[in-house]
Amino acid sequence: MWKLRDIVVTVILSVVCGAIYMGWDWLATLTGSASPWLLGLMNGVWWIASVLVAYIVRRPGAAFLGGAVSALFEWAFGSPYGANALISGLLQGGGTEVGLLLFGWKRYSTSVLMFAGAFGGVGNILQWYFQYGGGEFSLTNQLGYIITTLISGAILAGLLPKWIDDALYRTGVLRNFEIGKQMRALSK
Amino acid sequence: MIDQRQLTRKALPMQPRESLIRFDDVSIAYEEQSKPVIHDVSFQVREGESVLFLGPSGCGKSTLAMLCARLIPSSVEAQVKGELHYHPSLCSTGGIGYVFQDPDAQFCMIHVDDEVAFGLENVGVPRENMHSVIRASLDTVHLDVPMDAQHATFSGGMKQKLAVASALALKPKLLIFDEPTANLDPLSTRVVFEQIARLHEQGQTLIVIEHKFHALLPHMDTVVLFDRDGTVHRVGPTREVLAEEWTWMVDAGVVPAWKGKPAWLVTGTRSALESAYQPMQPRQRGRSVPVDKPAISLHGLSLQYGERTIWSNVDLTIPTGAFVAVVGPNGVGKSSLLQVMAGLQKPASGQVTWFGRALKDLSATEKQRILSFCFQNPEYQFIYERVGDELANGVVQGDLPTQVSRLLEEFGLAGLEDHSPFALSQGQKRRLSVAAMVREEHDLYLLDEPTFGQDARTQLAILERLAQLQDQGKTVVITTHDMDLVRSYATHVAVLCDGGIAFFGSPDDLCERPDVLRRAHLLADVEALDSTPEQQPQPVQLRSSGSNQPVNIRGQRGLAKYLNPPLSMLAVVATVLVGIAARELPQTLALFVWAVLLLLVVPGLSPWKVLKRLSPFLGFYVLYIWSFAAFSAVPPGAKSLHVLWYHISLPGLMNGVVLAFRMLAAVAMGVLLVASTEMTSFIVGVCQNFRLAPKFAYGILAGLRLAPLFQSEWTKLRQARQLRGKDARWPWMRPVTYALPLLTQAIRMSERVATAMEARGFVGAAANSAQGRTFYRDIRIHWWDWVYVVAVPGVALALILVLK
Repeated sequence: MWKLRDIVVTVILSVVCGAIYMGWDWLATLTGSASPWLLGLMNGVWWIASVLVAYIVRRPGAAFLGGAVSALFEWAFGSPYGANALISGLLQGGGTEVGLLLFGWKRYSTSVLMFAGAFGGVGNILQWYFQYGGGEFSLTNQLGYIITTLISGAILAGLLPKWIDDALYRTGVLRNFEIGKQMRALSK
Repeated sequence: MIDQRQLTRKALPMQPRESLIRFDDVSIAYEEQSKPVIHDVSFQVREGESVLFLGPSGCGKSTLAMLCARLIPSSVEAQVKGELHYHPSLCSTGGIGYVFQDPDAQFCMIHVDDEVAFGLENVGVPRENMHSVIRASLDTVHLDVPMDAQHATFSGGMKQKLAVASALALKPKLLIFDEPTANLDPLSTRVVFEQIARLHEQGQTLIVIEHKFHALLPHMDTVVLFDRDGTVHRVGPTREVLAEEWTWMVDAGVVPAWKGKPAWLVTGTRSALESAYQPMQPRQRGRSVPVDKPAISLHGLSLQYGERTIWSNVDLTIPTGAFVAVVGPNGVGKSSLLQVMAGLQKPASGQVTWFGRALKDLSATEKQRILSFCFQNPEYQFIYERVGDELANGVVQGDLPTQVSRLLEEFGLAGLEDHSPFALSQGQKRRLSVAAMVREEHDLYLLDEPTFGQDARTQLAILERLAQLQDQGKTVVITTHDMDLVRSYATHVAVLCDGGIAFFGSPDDLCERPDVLRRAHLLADVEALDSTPEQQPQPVQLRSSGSNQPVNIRGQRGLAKYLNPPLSMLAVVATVLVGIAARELPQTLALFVWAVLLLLVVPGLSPWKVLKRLSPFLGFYVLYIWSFAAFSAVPPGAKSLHVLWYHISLPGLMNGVVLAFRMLAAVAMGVLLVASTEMTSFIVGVCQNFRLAPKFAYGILAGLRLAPLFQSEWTKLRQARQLRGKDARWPWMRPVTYALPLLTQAIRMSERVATAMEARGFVGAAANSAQGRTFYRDIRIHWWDWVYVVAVPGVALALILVLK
């Protein structure tokens, strides 16, 4: 059952991520114009909110909500992708959510989170292929984009947010959240 | 009704009033097996009684208050033992009001009326009654602002008044104030105290937790005195308890040793300023007399934020070896004066010199050697994840250096070296920041409110250490609100008010200048409450004046006024999705034109504004077109240019142009939504019309409201890091190194906001379903909204089909 503080924390972390995405939009497009492979490698940052939030609150829908709300703010902050950013958020957050669902929202180990992060990449690839004209790219560029996006999702959107959350956990502020409860239960 | 209650109280003073709360042998622990925060506490609160909780920091006062408010164990989880009796009237939603310490962490809406209405919605007050109730509650607390003012622009005192108004609107049987003035300056503190005194006179039952309690004492019937270990030392009538326990209170750290005994206890009067304020004799100071050599000189300084002049013509010479206190009301620019002295902030004009050398001639390393600076919030300074590393100013492998262990010992931090600095208590954090400050020898020590939010013991430890530095001939400058502290420790006091230095001299001389004391409201918090008429701090800046626009179309123009916000969003998203089918240049171009047309008509933007809003994206699309020119699959027969791994081709370029217009159309549709809907109405609309659980809708709004706070946090972090010479080497690395302090602060704020919302009745049906609450804003769906939802993507689709 979602608690109010889970929701507020989800939103506030999503706002932070939305601001990061907004900066990333410009940076990644600049770099991405060098090669689709490179763009793929940078992709994962765009759905860090999903694992960042889900690992803390550990409830069904957390990854999706984090993805959707952060995209909403990215858009509101003035992303060059405009309303497309929202569609990205729904797809990438949804992808990560499916990744966690496959483990029944029960397991939040490093490998599960990396898997979920990579699954968020599937959402990104769908939008890229159908909406952003990825289908027009040559086959090698397409393959390159897909492979690097999945890797990037696992590392940047899975491992990195877990690492941030673990650091936050050590500061003691997450004691009253589900992550705190489960960690304590684990150490007992 | 109020009069009657008061009448009964006066007519039958000895009649035992009904008990609202009775606790017998109550203990509270936050986790199983952990030590209880509150032990075997027994006390009761009667109707109409005002109860003051006193005790050292960390003694569990707030915990017990939250139990009284029934927030424990429902909102804040804890194990409670013992017998609890609540009067049935406290058990209904809104039966207990709670005003929290942090004015920023108890609101969840953006506008004043929405904020008060939030509680009314929770208890199901019908919409037609809300407006008058809101107006009445604002009047009760003398908060004279437009209903659509944004409370983010209010001063701290005004925010607390709004919090009181929000609580009073629900007509609570019991109202709890949990250190309501901890973040306020003397004048705002006074405003809150006057409010408390007035409520008590009206017969409101009150529980108050307060450290600066002197002026409140005559208005409190009962005192509950806590001991450090979470037991109750004594409960009884205020005068009796304080008169007999004063020495104990000083020893236990409830009151700082340099605080005078409240005059009211001695004389029983509570009128004249002179009798209300009797500070102790100054501490044995001046062990080292300042030498006649300037440490810091300020010449003709002025500071501006944009158009606003904060202060000007500041000329000040601080002698070497002085202990200077900068005092003055909030918002007058004390902290910025300190920051200009430290070279952290550039003045608009004037010059700062340290020991006769202009600040701009000093190198960064020289500055770091001379100056030590302490921010008000110690967290800004923390860089490492371990207390030991923090104090050693580097990651330590193996044993800590002896100097570091000695400091840990001295500041009562021994045994905590492996903890995260962010996980310490408030007092420990402050002690750590001061310990880090004195680790290396400096010449100037500048501290922004070093005693802020600390209990008496920590205050004493910090001040004694500063006095010691001064004895060694160092120069110390602090900002503070505590005039007793100034009298006891400072050699010089600078009064900043009305945009300039109103006084600079010894504290004794300042006492001879009642005109200055009054003008800067320096004693407003200790003066007896009925000695002067209430002074209203003015709002810093009210962005909107009272417009008579109905609340649900607030801030909207053009046709957008008549549109349902969630359905507008649906129309935009549908149009963007339809746009995916556009594959030819005429199609995407037409989509873009359609979006611009909507921008002109729906929110009524001028062509110039449309251009301005879209211009930031143009550079982005140049890159975008390039990507396609270079990476597209080249159709057989088409010419292409091979450079490195790029295959630049004309068909690719065309692909890029086509897609760029499609994206630009999507951006314009996004601008359309942002320009034609207001956030509050949008989210409340999703809740009302589409049955999103209020928990999510209002949770999102609350989180949103916190977002602007990040900006100020960011600036302070940057300054703190630069001071320590530890800022990120490249600006783009800052998000990485600032992440931890920024996020811990954000998470703590979210928790507080959530608790505050629950304290206002946002529980059960009111939080879980739209039918379980009423709505102040009436967001409706009309037939034309459906037309809009179909027409906007419909026209887009028609354009795509026609131009195929």
